[in-house]
Amino acid sequence: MDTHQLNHPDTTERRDIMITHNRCKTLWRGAGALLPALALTVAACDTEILNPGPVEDQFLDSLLAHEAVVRGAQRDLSDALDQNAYWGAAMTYEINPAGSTGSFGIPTYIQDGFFKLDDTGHWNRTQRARFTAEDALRRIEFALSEIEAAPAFDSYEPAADAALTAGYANRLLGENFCEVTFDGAAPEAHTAALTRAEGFFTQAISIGGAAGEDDIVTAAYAGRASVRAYLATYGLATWADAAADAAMVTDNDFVYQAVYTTQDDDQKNYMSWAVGGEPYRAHTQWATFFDEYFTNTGDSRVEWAVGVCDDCPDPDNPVGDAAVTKFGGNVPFFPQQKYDWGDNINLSSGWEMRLIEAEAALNGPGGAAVAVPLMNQRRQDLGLSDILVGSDAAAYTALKQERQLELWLEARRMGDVRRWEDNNISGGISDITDGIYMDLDGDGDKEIDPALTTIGTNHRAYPIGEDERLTNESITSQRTCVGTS
Amino acid sequence: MRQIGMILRSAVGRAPTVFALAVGLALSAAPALAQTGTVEGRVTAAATGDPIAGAQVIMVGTNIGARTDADGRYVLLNVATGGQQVRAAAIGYAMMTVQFNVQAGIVNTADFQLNTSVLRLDEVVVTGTAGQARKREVGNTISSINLADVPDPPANLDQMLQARAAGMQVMQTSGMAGSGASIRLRGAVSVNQSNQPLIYIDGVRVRSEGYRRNRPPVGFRGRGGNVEASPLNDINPDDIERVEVIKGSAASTLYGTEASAGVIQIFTKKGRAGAARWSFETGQGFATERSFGTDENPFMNMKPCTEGTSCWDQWTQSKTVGLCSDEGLAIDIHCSWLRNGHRQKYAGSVGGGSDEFQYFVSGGWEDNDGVMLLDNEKKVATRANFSFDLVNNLRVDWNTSYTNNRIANTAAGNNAHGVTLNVFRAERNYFGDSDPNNLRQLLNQEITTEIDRLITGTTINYTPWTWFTNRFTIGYDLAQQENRNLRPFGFVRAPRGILSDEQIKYTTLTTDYAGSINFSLSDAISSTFSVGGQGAVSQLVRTTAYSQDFPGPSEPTVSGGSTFIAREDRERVVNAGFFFQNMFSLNDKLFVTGGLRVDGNSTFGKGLGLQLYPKAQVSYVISDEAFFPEGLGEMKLRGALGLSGRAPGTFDAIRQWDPIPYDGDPAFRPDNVGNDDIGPERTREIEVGVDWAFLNDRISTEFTWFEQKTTDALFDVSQVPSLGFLNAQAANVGAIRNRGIELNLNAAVIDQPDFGLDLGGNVYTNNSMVLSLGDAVPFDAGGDEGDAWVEEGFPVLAGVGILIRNPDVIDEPDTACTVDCNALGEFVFGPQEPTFVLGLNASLRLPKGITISARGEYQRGAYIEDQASGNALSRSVRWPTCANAHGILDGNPVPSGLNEAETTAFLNGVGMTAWERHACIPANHDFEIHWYKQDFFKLRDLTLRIPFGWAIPQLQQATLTITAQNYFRWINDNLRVFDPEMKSRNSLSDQNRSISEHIPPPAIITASVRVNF
Repeated sequence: MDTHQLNHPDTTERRDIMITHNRCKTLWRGAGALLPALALTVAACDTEILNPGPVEDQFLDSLLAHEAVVRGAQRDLSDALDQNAYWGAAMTYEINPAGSTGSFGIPTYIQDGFFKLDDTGHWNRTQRARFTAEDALRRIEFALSEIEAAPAFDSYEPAADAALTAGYANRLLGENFCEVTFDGAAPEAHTAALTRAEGFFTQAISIGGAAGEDDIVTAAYAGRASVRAYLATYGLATWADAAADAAMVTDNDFVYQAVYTTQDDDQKNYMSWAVGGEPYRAHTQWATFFDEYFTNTGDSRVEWAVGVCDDCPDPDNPVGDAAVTKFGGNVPFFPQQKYDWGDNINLSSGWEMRLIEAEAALNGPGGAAVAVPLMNQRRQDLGLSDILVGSDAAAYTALKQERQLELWLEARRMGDVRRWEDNNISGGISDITDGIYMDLDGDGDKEIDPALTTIGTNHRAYPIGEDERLTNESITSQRTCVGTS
Repeated sequence: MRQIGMILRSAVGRAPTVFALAVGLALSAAPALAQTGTVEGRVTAAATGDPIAGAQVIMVGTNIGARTDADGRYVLLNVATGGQQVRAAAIGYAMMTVQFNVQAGIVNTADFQLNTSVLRLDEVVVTGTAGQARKREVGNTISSINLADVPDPPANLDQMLQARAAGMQVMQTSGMAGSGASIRLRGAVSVNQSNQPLIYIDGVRVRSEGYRRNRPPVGFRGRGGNVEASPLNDINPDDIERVEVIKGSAASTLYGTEASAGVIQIFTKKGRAGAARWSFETGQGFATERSFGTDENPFMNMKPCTEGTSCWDQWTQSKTVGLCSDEGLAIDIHCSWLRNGHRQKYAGSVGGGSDEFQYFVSGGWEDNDGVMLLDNEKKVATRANFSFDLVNNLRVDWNTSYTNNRIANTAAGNNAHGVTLNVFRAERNYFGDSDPNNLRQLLNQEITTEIDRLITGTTINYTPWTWFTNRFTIGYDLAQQENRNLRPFGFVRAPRGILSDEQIKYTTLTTDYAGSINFSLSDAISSTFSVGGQGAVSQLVRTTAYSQDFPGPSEPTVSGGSTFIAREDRERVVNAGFFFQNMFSLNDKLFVTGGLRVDGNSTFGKGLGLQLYPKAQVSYVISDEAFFPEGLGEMKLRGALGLSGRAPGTFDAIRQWDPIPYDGDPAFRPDNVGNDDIGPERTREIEVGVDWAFLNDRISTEFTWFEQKTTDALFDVSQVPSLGFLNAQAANVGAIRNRGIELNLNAAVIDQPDFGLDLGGNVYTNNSMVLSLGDAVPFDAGGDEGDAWVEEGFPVLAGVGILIRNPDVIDEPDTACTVDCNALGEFVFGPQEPTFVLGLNASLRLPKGITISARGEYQRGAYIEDQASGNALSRSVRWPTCANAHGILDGNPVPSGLNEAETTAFLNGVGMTAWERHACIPANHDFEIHWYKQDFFKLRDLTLRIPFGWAIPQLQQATLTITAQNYFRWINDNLRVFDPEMKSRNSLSDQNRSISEHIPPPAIITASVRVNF
């Protein structure tokens, strides 16, 4: 399909919104001499209707619509991130199921630790986010070329915003999916999306810089640092370039976020909404790594609390809203406290940059001596005890956990686990702490259940969605990403 | 009839040959003045001599006519003198025409003794025809349901239509107050568009799609009663005289683009010349839920144990002592979530008039409690029908009805705030608690739907000459719906309250013209040429206001909340078209009809022109031939071929984006890819059949074979997600087929003056198949409400899932699909519409006019998905179908750490069947296994009718009727928990059938008294 043509119909055919026409010329000829029939033919042909609401495609080319076009792409990215973060959290034991398996809940097969090939929602949303951002960029460039005295594309703020969004959408795709496709083409390795993201971040830095949009530039450096770090794990980029980009984000408190609001259900932070307000006490921190970790450390990055449930049989010991498969019956309800319904989710942060610098150090000459202080910088900021390790391997183990804590519930964990295992980074994932923690030996402490960890038989990336598989003729087979990329 | 032909031929000799000129002349013609006389007489049944009330007597070729009174008498005034024909026709009797010389200044008498006609070949029908036509002229089957033949007072029109005609399935959808029925005529002709037939009332097109479900605009969309009301039920059954049903495109061609699912036309009662005739009726009764669930857990906890009563406990799988006590409950639930809902009805009507003016005025009020505790439906219905004979050749009918319907519902369905879901799931519900004292908090919701419906229409019949008739109708249907959904401040699931109020206006404006010109080509051959056109403008305006978080307890308005959301939707669709038709008649025995409908529609793509729908029909009353043995009775052979269509959706043609918010600012999101060439689905139907009455009309039968083929079928073609547009795009790519037979058989087994037994039945079969997918990949047309699979070679809208091939074997489930597998490797269970339907009826006539009648319906071949069971079992809910498995596992929990082989060995050891392993162990559970056969039989009604007018002086008629509707039933063992007549949320519009957390339709017991004077 010609994508350009798809998105830019002949602009000379502009007409009123939503007018539909019926061309009756041929039948007019045949209607001939019968006057009553002619009168009725007039009635039959006159079926033009103005139906308000949806907006015809060509109206998005207007300069006045460009900001809304880019915001649409950002909204799509927020939606995709929201859903990916939720199921991804269940797959990597960032949360455990406590309730409904349908609406707001975690499906039974996700509870059992695998994806199904007929899943399609996550793929679809992520692809829409990627497409609308890239389409916005194409549309803006095309529209500007058609309009006299239009602003220059190379310094046009909406273009920089669109490129930035396209970068993060591609990162979301690459980090979370087994394989990727672009615009109906054949599947490629998931790293292709990250390479594509790198290009869009570079474009955002260029256009944003020319437009004087420092926030966009900083967010683009942060995004590019993260994808270069990922690609460096596969040898497709350099750790030095990743660290250099990270270093461009000097403010540790910098965040670039996907936005959520309480104004509209569709824009709520799903992770939070699923545990409050509605009856869905859908997930819990009970029996996760963070259950005892938070109790023991008070690390505010992974805070949870005993839930509020006045109508539970025992309000002092609240349980999830419905029985779940993994734990058989009602589950203690310890909801996460990182997000409220309208809270944003980080796409990048200054503190993540420090961890990228630390990981780059572990992959370069600096080693643990450089990496550990970078990690401790954050821990000291939070009032936590320092990491005290000497070897690079131990430091890498600590780094894996710090990323688990820092990027908690941000749709990043599956990607991390996969890249470390794929490339056997410092022992692959043998040292990660993701899993279900129960008191298996009866000593009062909870231990990780060896059968229920990310190390086990979990799938570590979403498959290509069923819709894509059925409609994209270039796809003849796909990998399922069971324990591998 | 030969004489009539001669008269017509003579007229045509003066007629212009160009039709347009004829129209012009017609419009300017004025009735001639002449000397007149009066004709009067009496119409009686030839066999018994009893008077026939309501028979139509007309002067042939004029608009002079009247209906007989209760004594069978009529009077015709202002009849031109000279040789005239007067004709009498009554439903159930053969038409009779008498020729005689009308003299001025005297009363001319013409009495009629009509013979019965089971086939009713001279009965006039109008649905699907160009103007009026006698049944003998029509090549397609047409079902007429005369309310006079319906012994039981129907609760609503849905129920009245159940099991009345072969090929018409009227399926109830839940036991909730106000829930409508889905209607399918010869199955589904579309997988993308609605399969509800078009509805006309007295020639006026009215809304046929279900009313919007009452639910808030945001949040989970199940927050409500989860039922759809049917516009059909706004019509007071007492106002109906008859209903005509045409079931497919062979018959509905002249309705054009939107008629391929068939047409139902309702004719309301008209006044008759003569003294006012009053009728009053009152009915009292109750609705009661028949048992569902299993023997161990009847009613699925909806009738929990009362305190101190020993009964079955779902959780412990044992007899236990009930917890429920009325004491202390704020709402008197009597330890049961179900009740016998009181029903009451009061109705009256009066009709009468003169020869120039007739009237029929009616009013009625109903107050029906549902079986759910908050369910209620109150309905006020009024009607005024007026007929004016302004001059001899001009008649005007003006019909108007107004209905106010208020429906209150209990929160139910797949709804975590609902009663049924939480009660069914007991301890593992959203409270973690089955105590009714706790769950009763869910009754603190107000879910009310109010519908105001005004339908008004005027039909002008103008006959300037005997050979030229015109009918013009203009009508307007206005339905105003308010959905109000309140979870008040303090509600357990939304402590600060939520209120949604939705105002919806549906309008349909109809204009319709049909003109016919009759002429003779020879002594034997006559012709009727017709031309006409229709326009229909349908509009929907919906505004929704929503707010939440109120400051305190009070009766709120939306304005009182602290967070607001508003929505608005507007849709307008125009369909306009015209038709030509010519019918040739050979000796009034053989009729050959050809026609063409031409349509435009606002939903068509830019690249599409007008659409053509041709038709051809043959009807042959072979029994009128001299060679036909008299002993074989009356027989008509018929065949019809025709096309009609189904329009695409309002926005399907346009490539468009949705305006949406993001972080408080406007944004765009991809919506439709668009399709410039989109057009209607085109359904071509061929049907052939025979109508036959024999053994002195003791036995009558109608047989029809039909085949429908929908080409250019609108399929939702999935888009490639990586191209950004996620919504499937409707495109004319597919082809589907329905093929089957219809057989009606009625027999007067015993026919004595004071005693009789009539038996009857009808059979309908349908074999549907997807013939082609075109460019589409196999897809699910059921949306997120369930599966309705579309794939070449399989039934249309099939149920697909996982078949456990060894369900009762103590072993691992064998779920490998080896035969009847779809493209995804899932098992195709079969269609979701029945493949075989058997309707049975019997009527026993006793002395003094007492009758006992019964009507039943058996359906076979369809499959239904029990989503309620799937939802529960996936959540570790203790479910009655898994009682055995729960018992095993309670005593023998599966040890942890077993590998697959060890687990299998363990489960073999404890005796768990393959089905139980897949259904009852939550970790193994899959929703797709819950497909069940839908086969059932229901006794639709059992009625005792006792006339007692003889006991009360001054009354013309008085009847006591006692009816039980849907009281007795049989459901196949495969479907163990619920009822096959259940549906999910969008009960009328959904393509699939699935069971959600609802209660089955209740039985209704009523006793009513009707008096006429």
